[in-house]
Amino acid sequence: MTDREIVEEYRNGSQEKAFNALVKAYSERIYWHVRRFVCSHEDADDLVQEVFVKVWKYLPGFRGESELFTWIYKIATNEALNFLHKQKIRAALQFESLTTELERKIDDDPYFNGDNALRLLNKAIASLPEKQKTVFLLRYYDEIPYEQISEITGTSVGALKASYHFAYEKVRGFLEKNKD
Amino acid sequence: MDNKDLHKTTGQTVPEGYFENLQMRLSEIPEKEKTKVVPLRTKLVPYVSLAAGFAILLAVGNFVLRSTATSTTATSEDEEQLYYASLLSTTVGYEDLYYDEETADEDDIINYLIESGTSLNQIASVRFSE
Repeated sequence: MTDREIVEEYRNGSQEKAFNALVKAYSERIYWHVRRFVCSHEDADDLVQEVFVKVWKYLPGFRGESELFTWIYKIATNEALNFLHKQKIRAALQFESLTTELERKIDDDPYFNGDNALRLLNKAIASLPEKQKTVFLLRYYDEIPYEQISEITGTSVGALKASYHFAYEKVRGFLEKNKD
Repeated sequence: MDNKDLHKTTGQTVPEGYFENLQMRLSEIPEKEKTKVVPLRTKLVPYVSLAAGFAILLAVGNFVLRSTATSTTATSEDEEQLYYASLLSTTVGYEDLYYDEETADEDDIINYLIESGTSLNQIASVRFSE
């Protein structure tokens, strides 16, 4: 079922059927999207549920001015960033940084089967500032065009390209600095 | 994009059968949200606030009238008792709706402050000034 068909289905009164189609189409993508932000399976599992609760709650107000796809990604990205913001405050109260906290999660993650290079890449991404991390994850992993990332983040395409460039350079620098 | 490729380059994995289970849980959201019961406390808060507002207005009004009235217009003792009785009916007991017997620990307080948008500096200044 396409996004348009899902929206049609919802407007024709089959709300639950439409929602289930939406879950089928997006749950896995949204899970991976938030997992890359929070670096932990348990946290991602909680977040993806919160995302879909909000999707269900706000779907009646979806007017179709943006694509369903970008609308869902916007909710998911906001949820992930809010989560990281809270983590940052909690970490600061323990005299730690968010990056240290995320690095610990990456090191202790039982659901990881990559090598050290991948672990290092995940840590490099975890060390990025919020905006750079968002554009890097959406562009590099989800391969979403800048125009759609612009809709998701509310940032201009030019600014996104600049952020991606800085993020890419930082990741590369981090990997070079920490190799072996 | 193919869902199977989504996690290839991060090395992150999920438990066996996780996504089937996740879809099942997410599909239950509409049903759960429909049957979600709003706590009585939440329902009553607007009414209790309104009643408390009226009570405060009455008390303030009474204070102003009393402080500006001449001594010859004093009300009788019976009328005064009746007045306080009417106040009691709207105020007594409502504080029970706000406070339960559970005590909040430090995490609850920090979570509340975070949720309410309090800045890190403010939280830290309260916490570490103890």
